[in-house]
Amino acid sequence: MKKNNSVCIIDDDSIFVYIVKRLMDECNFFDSILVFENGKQGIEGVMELNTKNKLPNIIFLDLSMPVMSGWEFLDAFAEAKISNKEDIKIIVMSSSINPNEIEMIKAYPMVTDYIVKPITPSDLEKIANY
Amino acid sequence: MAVSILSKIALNPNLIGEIPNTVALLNSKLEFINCSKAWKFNHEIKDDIIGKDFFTVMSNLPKAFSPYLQNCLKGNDCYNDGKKFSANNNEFIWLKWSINPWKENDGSVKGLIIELDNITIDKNKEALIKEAQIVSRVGGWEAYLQNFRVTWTKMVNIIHEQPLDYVPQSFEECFKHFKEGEHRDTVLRLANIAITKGTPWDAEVIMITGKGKEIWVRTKGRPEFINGKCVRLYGICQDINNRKIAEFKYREEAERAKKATTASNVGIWQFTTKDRIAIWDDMCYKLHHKNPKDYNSTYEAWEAAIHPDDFLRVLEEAFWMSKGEGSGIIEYRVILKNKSIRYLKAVVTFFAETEKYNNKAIGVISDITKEKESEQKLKEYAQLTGDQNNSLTNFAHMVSHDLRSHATNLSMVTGFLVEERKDEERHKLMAMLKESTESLNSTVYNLNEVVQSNANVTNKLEPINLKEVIENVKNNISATFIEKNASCTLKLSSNSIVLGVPAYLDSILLNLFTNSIKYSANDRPPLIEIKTTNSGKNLTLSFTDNGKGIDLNKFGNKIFGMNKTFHRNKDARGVGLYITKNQIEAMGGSISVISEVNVGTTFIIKFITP
Repeated sequence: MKKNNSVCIIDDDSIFVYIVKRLMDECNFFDSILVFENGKQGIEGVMELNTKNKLPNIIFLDLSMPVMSGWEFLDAFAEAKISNKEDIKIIVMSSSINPNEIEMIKAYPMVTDYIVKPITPSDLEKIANY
Repeated sequence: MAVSILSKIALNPNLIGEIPNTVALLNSKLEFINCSKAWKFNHEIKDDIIGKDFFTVMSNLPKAFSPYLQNCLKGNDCYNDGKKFSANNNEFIWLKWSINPWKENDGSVKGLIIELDNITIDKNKEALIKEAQIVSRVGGWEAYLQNFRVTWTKMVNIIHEQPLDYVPQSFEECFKHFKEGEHRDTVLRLANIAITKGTPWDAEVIMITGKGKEIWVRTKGRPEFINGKCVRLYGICQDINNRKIAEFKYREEAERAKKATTASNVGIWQFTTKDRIAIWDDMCYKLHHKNPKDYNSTYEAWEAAIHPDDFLRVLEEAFWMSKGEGSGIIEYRVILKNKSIRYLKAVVTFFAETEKYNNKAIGVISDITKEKESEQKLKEYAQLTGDQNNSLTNFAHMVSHDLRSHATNLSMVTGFLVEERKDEERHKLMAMLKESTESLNSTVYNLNEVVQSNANVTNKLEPINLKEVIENVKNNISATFIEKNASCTLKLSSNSIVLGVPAYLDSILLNLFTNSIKYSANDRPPLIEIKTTNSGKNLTLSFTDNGKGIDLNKFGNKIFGMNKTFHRNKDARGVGLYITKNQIEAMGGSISVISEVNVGTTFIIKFITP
């Protein structure tokens, strides 16, 4: 699998984060991984990485989170001053199969893909090839 | 004309010209000797006629007239007051004549003196009058007061259903035909006034015919005075029974229509656009809740009654209706004295009365408040149903989302656990398994709460002392209170009994308390104030904290919705408030919120009281 040097996960579900990390480990998906518990921590973290010039290649983003949801993160991300923003792939992951939500996600051009949980090794394979 | 004069005329024919009558003098050969100017005028003769043949000059005269002349030439007089002939021009001609032979001393006839009038025009007029009298059933009568001589036309007898030759023999007899009582008295009184004061009368009364039938007649009379004394009464008698009966029938129907419209609460109105003159019946005033005495005009009353927001719209709609379809329906509101609103529906028809354009409108108006209110209710129900449908869809998505996430986590963790050999990692996975199971459990529990709070409990409400509930819930979470250094003050009305479901009230208050503590400000200890006010019908509870507050501009009433999932923060505001709201509404109450960020939040809850 093509290796992504840095991955970022924004999700409040610690069990799910554990599962994803374990799957990624098993297929050697990344060099470094960072986890944020909600959108607020996520955007602050990404901004900090920007100043350090260590932006992630891929952000895995959950939608329903306390404090700041995935939606709010996307809005904040769109407005944030981040260098080479278009190089960052955002993969939205959610347990929701609500068609309205999927439709709304398509309205965000910076979102590369929408994955309905659970995430599988073949999903990771596909993402690695984007 | 006397014969002696005639013979003198015959002796001096030139005298004839000056006689005012229509007279002509003929010789025995029936040739004109001379005629009066009136003759020429009456028979429309312009030329000189002396010496000319009678029938040649009088070309219009029917030949049937000739035998009369021939008879007179034999020495006979002939007289007729009016006879109808077929004239030569296919028309009828009426002639009136008096013919005397003009004799020599020896008795031989030398010629004829003819007085001849064409009375066709008069006769036709007379016939018309007769016809008119028959058609209109009008008879004439007169009564001489000095000798009480009464005469009347045949029509009077026809109306009276009396023999045609009947004539009353006395003045009193004239009045006995009128119906005894009110009617006879009226006519007697009117006749008396006419005789004494000279006032003519015109009245409609009932009379009894010779066959004992009651009929309506119009009696008209006029006195004639000589030297200040009434000598004669004359007038007409008209049969108006059919008209009168029709009139009564119409009145009866109008009365019935009026009763019907009154019973159905329909008002009738009309309106002239040019001068804005409106006419209302009593029901219109009633429907507009106005008293006619309070306004100078009906239009003014309408202006005062109509809801100001509807005024211009109604005028505009009426204008376009008058230009277009000409009829339709206009609805508007009126404000009643108690400030409540009544909806009226006017059915309008425009028509042109005198002008070329539609300048007049008539119609009916009725109260449609009930219909409007049920329409409004129906809309509200539709809205409510729509809202509920939406929230159910949301709910379904939420449940699906939450159950899915737990299920996938459980299945993944279990999968890892089966494969995992390292004890340390196994412990970690076991802890996760436990956490996931608990989350699933709590999701199902919440799900249950939501479903139950939507249930209909209005018939299961019981009186509950809110004070006891508040203190009970507060005691149950006293540990948290102490831990967070929270305090609570109660300002309850003396009567705090509400109608509710005990489990709901516990759940509502627990949710409010835990929210206030959970979202308390970091820099100050939580302070809660609970106040109740009892209006008799309702009890209002306000639950105020000094916590972080909610940005209502951002979230608005979404805080009562199911917009957030609850699987990870099972006690977060999202679903908790949704359940609270549902429980309150199920008990017939309502909840609203006011809040300021970093100052605090107040929930205002209305309960119904026993």
